[in-house]
Amino acid sequence: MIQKVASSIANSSIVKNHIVKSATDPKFLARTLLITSVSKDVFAYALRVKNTLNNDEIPKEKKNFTAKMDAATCAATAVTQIGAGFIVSSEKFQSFFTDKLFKSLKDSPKELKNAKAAFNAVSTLVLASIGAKRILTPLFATKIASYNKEQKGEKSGNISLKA
Amino acid sequence: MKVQNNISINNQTNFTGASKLSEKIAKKFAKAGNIGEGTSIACDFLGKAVVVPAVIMLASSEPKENKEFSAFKNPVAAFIQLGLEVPVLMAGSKIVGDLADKGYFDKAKNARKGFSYNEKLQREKFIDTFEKIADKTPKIKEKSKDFLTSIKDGGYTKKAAEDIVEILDGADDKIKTAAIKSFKNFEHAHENKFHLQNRICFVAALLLTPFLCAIENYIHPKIMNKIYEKRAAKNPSKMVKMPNIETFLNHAKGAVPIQNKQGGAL
Repeated sequence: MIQKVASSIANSSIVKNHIVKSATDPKFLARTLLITSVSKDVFAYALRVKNTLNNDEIPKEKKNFTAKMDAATCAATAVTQIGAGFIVSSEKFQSFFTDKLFKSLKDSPKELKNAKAAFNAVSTLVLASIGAKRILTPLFATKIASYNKEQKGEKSGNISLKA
Repeated sequence: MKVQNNISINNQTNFTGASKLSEKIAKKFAKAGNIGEGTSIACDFLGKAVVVPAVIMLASSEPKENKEFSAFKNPVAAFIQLGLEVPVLMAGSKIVGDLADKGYFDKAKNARKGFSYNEKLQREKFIDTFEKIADKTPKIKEKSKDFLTSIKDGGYTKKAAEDIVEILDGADDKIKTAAIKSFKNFEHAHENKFHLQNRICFVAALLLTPFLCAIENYIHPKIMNKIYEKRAAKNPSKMVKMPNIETFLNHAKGAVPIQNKQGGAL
């Protein structure tokens, strides 16, 4: 019974086409890895916000900043990663680098194809999940969280603690 | 003139060095295979453990203690991920791979058309086809000893895909077509299985996320408290006495800065 369901899903046209395209289209593979990575992050950050707010062991003043930081990171990470990943995996961006980097493989089409496919996936992942997610996202998220805190401080008539 | 020659030689050396490096990088990428969830997890770990804490500490204008609390959350999450998620996903991937090699995910109709997840079966079929061809063609048999051993012992590799083209170079078209077709089926089954493992691991990772977050949420404050306790024990003069909420509100309304123990504004 389980096997029947598993093989039906694995052989359904959606899964089959997805698997075949992942194996043959480097841009599709790079973007699939990007989307799976982003969706894991968004899900994890949403859970973290909920957990942080419900965690009584975290001091109140740190709790708010940490939760706001997580919520802002969640939004910023999705936008920056998808934006950066789609730009990096595009043909224009890829050919700009691969034409120069893989000049030596010009006479070996199969090797060139493999190298281009691997470079597309690796460069998309590195630039999106390290460059965009880890450098741009915290920069934006920190600003969003601090801005949010300032706005709330002004609305309630209190003086912001921000230096 | 001598100086000019030296510059020219240096430039030439640099150029040759750069070109050799680019060639090496190109070869590495050409041989790279199996880029999937593993690569994604590795990038994620590096970023989470090293890059994020540095960026939060450098970019945020929040008080140092708040920044530390938020920044340290990421390495904690990264190590929990490394310690729990990676072994679970590796074991899951192996189970999916073993099931695929037993034909668990195959459907006869699709398998007949050449779509299969059963890499083991396709490998055996290829070895059988190739050995029959090699038995009839001594030249191919001579050239393919190492190739067959590597396929039998190590399975599919990018090198094997290059080697077979070289081995069959100059062979009869009929033989070539039969061997390549069988090898392609083996190659496709290998790729299908790999991508199926990746997608199942992604679903498993999503299901695992709430548990990882709960563990992280439990461990993170404990680790931070330990760090603060140790720091306070080492340097008690740097401890900050936090005001109670009433004192804070009174001072805030009157716009009078609250003083800490050393007289600095909080």
